[in-house]
Amino acid sequence: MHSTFFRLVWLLATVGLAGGLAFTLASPGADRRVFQPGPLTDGHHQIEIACGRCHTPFGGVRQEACLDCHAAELEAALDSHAASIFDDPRNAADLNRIDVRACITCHTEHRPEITAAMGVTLPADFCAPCHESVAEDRPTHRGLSIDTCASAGCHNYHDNRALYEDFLVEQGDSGPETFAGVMPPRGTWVSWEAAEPTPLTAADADAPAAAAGDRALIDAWAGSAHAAAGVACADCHRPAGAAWTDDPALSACAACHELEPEGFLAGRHGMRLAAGLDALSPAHARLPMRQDAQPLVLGCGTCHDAHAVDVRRAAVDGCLTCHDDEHSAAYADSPHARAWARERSGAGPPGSGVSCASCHLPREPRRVAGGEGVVVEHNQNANLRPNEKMIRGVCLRCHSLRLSIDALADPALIRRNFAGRPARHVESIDMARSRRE
Amino acid sequence: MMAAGVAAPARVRKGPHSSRRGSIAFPALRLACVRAAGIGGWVAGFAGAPARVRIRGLLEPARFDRIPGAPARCVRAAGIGGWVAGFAGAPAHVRRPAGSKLAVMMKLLVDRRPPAIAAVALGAVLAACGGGSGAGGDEPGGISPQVMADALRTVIESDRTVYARHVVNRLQDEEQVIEASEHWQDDRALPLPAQMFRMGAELAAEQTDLFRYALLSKWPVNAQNAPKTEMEAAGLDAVAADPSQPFYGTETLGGVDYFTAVYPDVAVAEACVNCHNAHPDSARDDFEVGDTMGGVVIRIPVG
Repeated sequence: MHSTFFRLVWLLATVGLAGGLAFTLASPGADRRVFQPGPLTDGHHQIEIACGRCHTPFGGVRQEACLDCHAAELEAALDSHAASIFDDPRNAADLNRIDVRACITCHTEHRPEITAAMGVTLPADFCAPCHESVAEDRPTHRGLSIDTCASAGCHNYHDNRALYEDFLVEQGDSGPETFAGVMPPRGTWVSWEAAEPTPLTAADADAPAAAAGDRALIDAWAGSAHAAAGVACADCHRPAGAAWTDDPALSACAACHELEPEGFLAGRHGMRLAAGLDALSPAHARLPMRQDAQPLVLGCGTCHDAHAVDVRRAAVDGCLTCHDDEHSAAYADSPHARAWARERSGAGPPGSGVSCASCHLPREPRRVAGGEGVVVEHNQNANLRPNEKMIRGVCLRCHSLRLSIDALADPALIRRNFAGRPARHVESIDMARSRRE
Repeated sequence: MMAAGVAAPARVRKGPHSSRRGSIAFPALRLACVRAAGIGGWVAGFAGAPARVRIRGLLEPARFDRIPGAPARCVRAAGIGGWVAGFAGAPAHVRRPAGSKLAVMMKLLVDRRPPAIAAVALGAVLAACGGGSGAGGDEPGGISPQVMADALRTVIESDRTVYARHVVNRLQDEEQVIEASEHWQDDRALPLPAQMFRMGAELAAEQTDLFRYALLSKWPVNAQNAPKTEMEAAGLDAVAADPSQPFYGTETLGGVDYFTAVYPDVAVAEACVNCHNAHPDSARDDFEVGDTMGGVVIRIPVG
């Protein structure tokens, strides 16, 4: 009797558990973190419930899943170790030691206990299988430890645009450490098809009575670039004839602004939206964020006030509304912030100030519509890590390569937001130059 | 699934096992077991590829892609074999009774089981394992690997000569319109002929597994282009000593057999020798136009 009863309980429990897990696994919207073998890296935890972005139904990881998001940046970085370089049978012996063609050889997810900087899960001497004899060709490298190639500020595995030898030789002929550079004027890339390019005034506001109650909002809009460009209330709040919304979606902005949302969706701020999830919130963040910012969600309007369209707000205040780490907190007292204050007060020329965006969402020359344009790169990750990515597009506008490399290799200086001088000197330029003498 | 008692088609010969059908105690259980084994093999076969990625501890991350395709194909084929065996192993009355060819074949299989079933499954496995990525050169009347390599070399060498002479040498050295630079994106310059060659080889490799080609040298600018295999070293020595004769051989790399051909790569223009003689990473500074500076290596998987 008892035995029958317990068997029944066991059966029900087993069926219930298996059924529950199976249901969770099969429901696209369900929180499937129960199946996670370990936490994800800082770069992927934002989309951790979207298992299918990376995994096949049987749990494998597609190489294409990595490339779907990262191929464009690797190509732009002139990837020094592109898989195509090694896809030749003559490399079979090397690939047998370390198959560098697959992203997951070096970047394995869900393994925090072995994950180092940049999500690398190999031991730090991963260069050794192919480059351990480097000192034979490069006397300057004698005595250097093979586990410091990528951590000393000299080399990166993928992106060496600012670190390759000829560039070091060419740029390392030290001029002044710091000079009065300016950022190029910002371009705005819009498709006019979605709007009537006839300037509007407050009288043209076409918001319904319930939403038009806020007079200050209407006045701000009337003075904004949107009104000047003929963009009325309904163009954003009632896109394509849909019902009125107080919070226009990214797609409403993207109807005119094509390039900026692309970058936003490719970076950490927008990657949840790109993965079909709800928008990122400071509450999701692993970095320290301000307590009062926790309820915010990230869309264009979080940083940009679409009514006032003062992009300078987005350049610093937008960031500091949420970010509360040491580097962000130190900005106010940094030399960069002083330059920003000079520009804002009119004492410095346009483009001479250094805001958060100057470095993290920089203005970049890009070929747009057949011409050379300047686009604000809204993918904050494009210039983030490894931080030498930032050198050519950002640092060199005002600083020498020598100072830039040294500063970016000094974590304490970065935490102080570059108040002070680099603590040590990276000898890469000296080494490169010594080979040419 | 058909109900028991459906008559077998008349034109199928009654086998010796038919009369024993009633003597098996649990035909349904036996059927279930055989089917389960078949389904298990099937699932294992398809899960084979991801499974090798997931078995941590047994396989380190760096080894993921090292396993050549053959074992995975074997597992998969075993799964398919198991599936077929599972179906064929079922009592005749639950199989499709229609008089189709499949039913006849199945019936014959059942009549001669288990040796016939084992033979079919084994045959499927062997066929899948043995069916490697041949170049088709062993078919009567097909193109031999050597002819294919020679033909590829003709195209590669012609394009390379045109680019070196009529693009780089003309625009850089003669008319001085634009330079060729290793950092051609940064410098808004022409890619070097060696880079042009390499980009083409990489693009081709993305599109086909029928062949691979590379530009190598005993005196490379990039150390990665020095000979790595015995066949490369022997081939580069041979074409340097006698550029009139290509070098042919076979080698096994990563578990795959290759027909390997090495052809001399000759300096066809001043631009070639000027750059190599001046480059700080070059192992030689005394090349002259007409010298064999390295070799084009073409590999074709065979067997």
